[in-house]
Amino acid sequence: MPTRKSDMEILIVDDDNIVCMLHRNQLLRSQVPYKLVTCSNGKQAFEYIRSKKEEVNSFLVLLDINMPVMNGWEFLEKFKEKSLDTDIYVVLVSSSTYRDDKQKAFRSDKVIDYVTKPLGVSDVEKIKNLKEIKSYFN
Amino acid sequence: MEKNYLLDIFTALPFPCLVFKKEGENFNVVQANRKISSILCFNHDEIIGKSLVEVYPKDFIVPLLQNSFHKVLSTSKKDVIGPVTLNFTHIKISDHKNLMWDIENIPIKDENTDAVFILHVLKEAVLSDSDRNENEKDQQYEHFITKNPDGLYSLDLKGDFTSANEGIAEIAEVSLQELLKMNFLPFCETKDKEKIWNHFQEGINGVANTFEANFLSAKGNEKVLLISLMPIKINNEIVGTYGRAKDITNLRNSEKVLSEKNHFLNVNSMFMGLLLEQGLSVETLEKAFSIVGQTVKADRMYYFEAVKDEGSKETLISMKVEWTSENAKPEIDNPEMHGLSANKLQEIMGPLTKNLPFTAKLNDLPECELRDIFLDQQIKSMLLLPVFIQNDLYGFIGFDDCTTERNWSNDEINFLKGLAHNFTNAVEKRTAETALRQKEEALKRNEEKFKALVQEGSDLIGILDTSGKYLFVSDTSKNILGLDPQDMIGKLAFDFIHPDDVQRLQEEFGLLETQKRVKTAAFRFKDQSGNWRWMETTATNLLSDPAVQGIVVNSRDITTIYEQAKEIELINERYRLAAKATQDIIYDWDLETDEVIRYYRSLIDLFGYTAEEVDQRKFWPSNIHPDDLPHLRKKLDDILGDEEEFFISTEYRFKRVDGSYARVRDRGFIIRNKQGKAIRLIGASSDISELTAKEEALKLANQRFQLAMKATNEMIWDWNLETNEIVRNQAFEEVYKFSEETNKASDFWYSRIHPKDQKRVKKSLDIAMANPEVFKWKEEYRIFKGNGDRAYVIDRASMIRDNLGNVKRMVGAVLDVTESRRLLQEVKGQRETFKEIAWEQSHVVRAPLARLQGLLDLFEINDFEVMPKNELVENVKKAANEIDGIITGIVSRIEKIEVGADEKK
Repeated sequence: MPTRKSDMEILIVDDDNIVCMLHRNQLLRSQVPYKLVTCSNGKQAFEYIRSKKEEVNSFLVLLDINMPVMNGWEFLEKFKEKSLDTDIYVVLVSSSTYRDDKQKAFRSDKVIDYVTKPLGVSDVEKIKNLKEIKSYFN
Repeated sequence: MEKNYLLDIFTALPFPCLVFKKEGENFNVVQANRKISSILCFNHDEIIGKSLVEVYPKDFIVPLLQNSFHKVLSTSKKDVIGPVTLNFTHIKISDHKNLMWDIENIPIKDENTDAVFILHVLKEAVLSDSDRNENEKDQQYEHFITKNPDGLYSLDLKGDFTSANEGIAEIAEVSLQELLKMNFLPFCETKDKEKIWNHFQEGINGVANTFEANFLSAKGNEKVLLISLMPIKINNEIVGTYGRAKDITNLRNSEKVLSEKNHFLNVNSMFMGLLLEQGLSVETLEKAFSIVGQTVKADRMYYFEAVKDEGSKETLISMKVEWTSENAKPEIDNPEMHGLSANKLQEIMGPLTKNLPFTAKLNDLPECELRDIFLDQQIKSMLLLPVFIQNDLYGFIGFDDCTTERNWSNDEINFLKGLAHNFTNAVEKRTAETALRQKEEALKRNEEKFKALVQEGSDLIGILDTSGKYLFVSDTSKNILGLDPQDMIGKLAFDFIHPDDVQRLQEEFGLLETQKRVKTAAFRFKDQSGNWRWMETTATNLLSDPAVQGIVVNSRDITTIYEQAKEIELINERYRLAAKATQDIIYDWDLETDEVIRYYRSLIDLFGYTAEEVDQRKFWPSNIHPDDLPHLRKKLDDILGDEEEFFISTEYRFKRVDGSYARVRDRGFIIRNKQGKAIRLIGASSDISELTAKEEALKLANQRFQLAMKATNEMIWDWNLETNEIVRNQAFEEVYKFSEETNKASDFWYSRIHPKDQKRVKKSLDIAMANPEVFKWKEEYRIFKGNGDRAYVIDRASMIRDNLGNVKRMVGAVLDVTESRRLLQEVKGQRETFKEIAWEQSHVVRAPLARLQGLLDLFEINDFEVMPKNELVENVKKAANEIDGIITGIVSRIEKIEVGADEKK
C-alpha cells in the first residue's frame, strides 16, 4: 500500500542556530501546518530535498544567503544545474538590506519573496498569502 | 728672163731695199736685196715673209711706214719719209745705229697699173757738218723745215727753242719770235710733263726717240702731238736735239668721239635692253640712270612725271626716279620735289611743253625759283629732255652737273634725246599696255559679272511676253530647278506655279500695267522633280525697251531661307521651352546688329520686371550695378576680341525692380565667323543670390570653425576624402605632442592607435562610412602620443555625404579622456569598496543585529519557553558585542581608504 505523499515541508536554512530557533518559533506561532526542518547550509538543504522529493510534494525553503559550505546563491544555482522534479518555493530571509541582493534574488525563478531578518509574525503571514503557495495555507 | 734680169738689178742695188706686199692687215717682206742683208742680222732667206713690225720691232717708224704704204697703194705714187733714225733691233754693224735715213716707198705696178708691191728703199742720210755744203743745207732747210707742215724745231740742252718753223709756232699758237724766246716745258700738260722731260733727256743723251704726249698751246688749247727727237752733234758733241712735232689732236679727238659715240650706242642699247627686259620699274630705271649718268659724266639724272591736278587744272610735277654721283646729294626724298607747280617754273616748262630740250647754267640764270633750286641743290648746269606722249608733256628726264658749268655738246644732247625718245616709247608702250590691260580686265569683269549675275548666279532670270510665256530663261534654271531653259521657253510661267498661288500672283503681275516694277510675295514653283520650291520674284516691265521687249522676272529661290526661318522658329520655341524649364534667362545676342532675344519663364520670379521692360534694348546694361559695369564691359571686350576664346563667364550685381541687387552669374558661348570675329553670344543668366548667400554663410561657418579649432583643447580634424588631406588644429601638437611633419602621413593616426584597438576602430569606421544613412561616428580607443604616453580618447565625427551617399568629408573631434577615465576607475574602486561596506553592513553588521532584534522580540512577548531568560540575555549581549566589533572594523577600513586616496593625490 503506497504511502500518501505529504503536501509540504518547510525548510529553515541558516548557519546561525539562534536565528533558526527564532524562525521556527515565529512559524510555530503562526501555526503553520507543515513539518519544519532545519538545515545549517545550502548543501544540507539540497541533499535533504533530494532525499525527500519522493515523499513530499512541495518544499518551502526559508533561505539565508551568507552561509558556509554552500551559501544561498550557490543553493539556487544548484537547482539550475539539476532539476529535482519537485515544487520548491524559496523565500530569502537575510539580514542584508542591500538592494543588489534583493534584485539578484528575484533573478531566480525559485525565489518567491525576500524578507529581511528578523523574521516576524507579520512576515510569516505575508509568506502564507503569497500567490504561489497561498493554496497550501487556506 | 725679164723678171730675172730685174731681180738681178734689184739684188745689186747699192741701197738697202725690201719689197713689201700687203697680205691681210699686214705688210710682209716678199724680197730683199743683198745690201739690206748686210746690215741686218737676217740672211736673205730669213727676212722673206717677215712683217713690217718684225723688221722694225717696237719702232715709232712703223705707223709712219704703214700710213706711207697705204698712201702708196691708194695713190700709186712714191712717198718719201726722212731723214729718220731707224731703230734696228737686229742691226749687224754698230756704225749703222745712229745713221739717218731717207726712206722712199715706191709702188710696183701690175699690168693694170695698180700698185701691188712696195719697193722700200733706205738711203743713208747721215748728217755730217763737215761734209754737207751750204747749198744742201738750204735745200734741206727749205724742204724739211720751212715748208714742212709739221712742227720742226731744235732745242738746246736746257730745252730752250733755238730754231723752229712756222709749223711749230702754229701748233703752239704763239708767234715764231715769241717761241724762240721760250722753253718747251710750259707747253707740256701737267700730267705728261715728266714723261716729256724724260724723252728730252734721252734725246740730249744721244738717243733718238719718238713719243706721243699732251700739250697745251699758249691759248690753253689741248694738243696731242707725236714728237720725234734726234740728238744734234757738233764735233761729236751733243749740243741739243732736233724735234719734229706732228699735231695728231684731230686724229685722237676723232678717235675719242668715235669711241664716245660707240659707247653712247652701247649705253643706249643697254638702256633699251633694261627697259625691255625688266620694264619700267623704279629699280630698273635707277640701274639704267646710273649707267647713263656715268656715261655722260652727270652728277644727277632723274625723271619727273607731270600730272594735271583735277581740281586746280594745274600741272604738277613730281620726281619719280633719281640717280646721283658722289658729288651730288639725293633729292628724291625732298618733299619740294613732289607736287611742284609747273606754273612756278615757266623757264623750264616753256621749251618742254613745246617738246624742246632745256639747258641752263647757274651764272646765266636771273633771280627766279629755278635759280633757288640750282643753289639749293648745288647745280651748276642742267639739261632737261621732254617725254612727250600723244602731244602732251608726260614728264621729263633731267641731268644735273654739280661740278662745272657745262656746255652740253650736240653729240651729248642728241645722244640723250635719243635716249629720252626710247624712254618715251617705253612709257608710251607701258601706258598703252596698262590701258589695254585695264580695258581687258574691265571687259572680263563685266563678262564675269554678267555670267555671275545671269548665268551662274543664284537668281533665275527670265523674260516673259505679255501672255506670260517665257521668251528667255537663264542657265541658272538648271541649278535652281533642275530644268533646262529650253524646257521652259515658250511655256506659260503660271503653269509652273502652285495652283493656290496663281490667282494672287496674277493680281500682283497685273500691277505692272500701272507700275514699272513689282515684287511678289513668296510663292511655290514646281521644279524638275515635281517638288515645290519657294520663290520670290521681282518683275520689271521692259516691254517698251527695244532691247528686251518683255517683262524681266528675277526670281530668287528662298526655299532654304523659308525652311531655315521655320527651323529658327522651332529653335526659338525650344529656347522658350528650355527657358520655362529653368530659372535661368537664356539669351541670344547678335553682336553684329546688337539685337538680343531673351527667353525666360517669368522675370517676375527673378527680378520683377515686366516683359515690355525686359525687351527694351538698353534694359540689361542699364540695370547692372554701376560699380560692376566698367569691369564687365572690359572683360567682355577682351574675351570677344580674343579669337581663341569661345566661352565667357561673368558675375555681377543686377538691380531688381524693388531697387535691391541680385547676384547674377552669366555664362555664354561665343560663335565666331571664319575670320575669328565674334558674331553671336548665346548664354544663360542665373540668379545666384541665394547660392552666394549660402556660400557666404558657409564661409562664415568655416571662419567660426577655424576659430573654434584654435580655441578648443580637443583635437579637431577635417578629413577631405576627395583629396585625402587631413587638417588638424593646434591640439595635435600641443595636446598630443606630434610634430607637423608627422601629420602628412595619410595613415599616421591609425598607426598610433593601440594595436588591440586598431581593428575595432577601423571596422567601426568602415561600417559607419559604408552606410549612407549614418552621419555620425563615435569610438573610444587608446593611442600613443608623440612623447610615448598612452592616452584614452573619445573620437566623434560628422560625415558629409554627396547625393550618392558617398562620404566626401569628415569633421571630428578627439577628446583625451585619460584623466577622467582614471578618475572613473578611482570612483569605481571606491564604489566597490562602498559596495563591500554595504554588503558587510547588510550581512555582517545586520546579521547579529537581526539576531538581536529577534531575541528582543522574545523579551517583548515574555516567551521564554524556547529559550530560558538568562540564556536569552547572554545571547543578546553576545550579539551586541559582535555588532560593536564589526563597527570598529568598518571604521578602521574607511580610515585606510582615505589614507590611500591622499597618497594617490
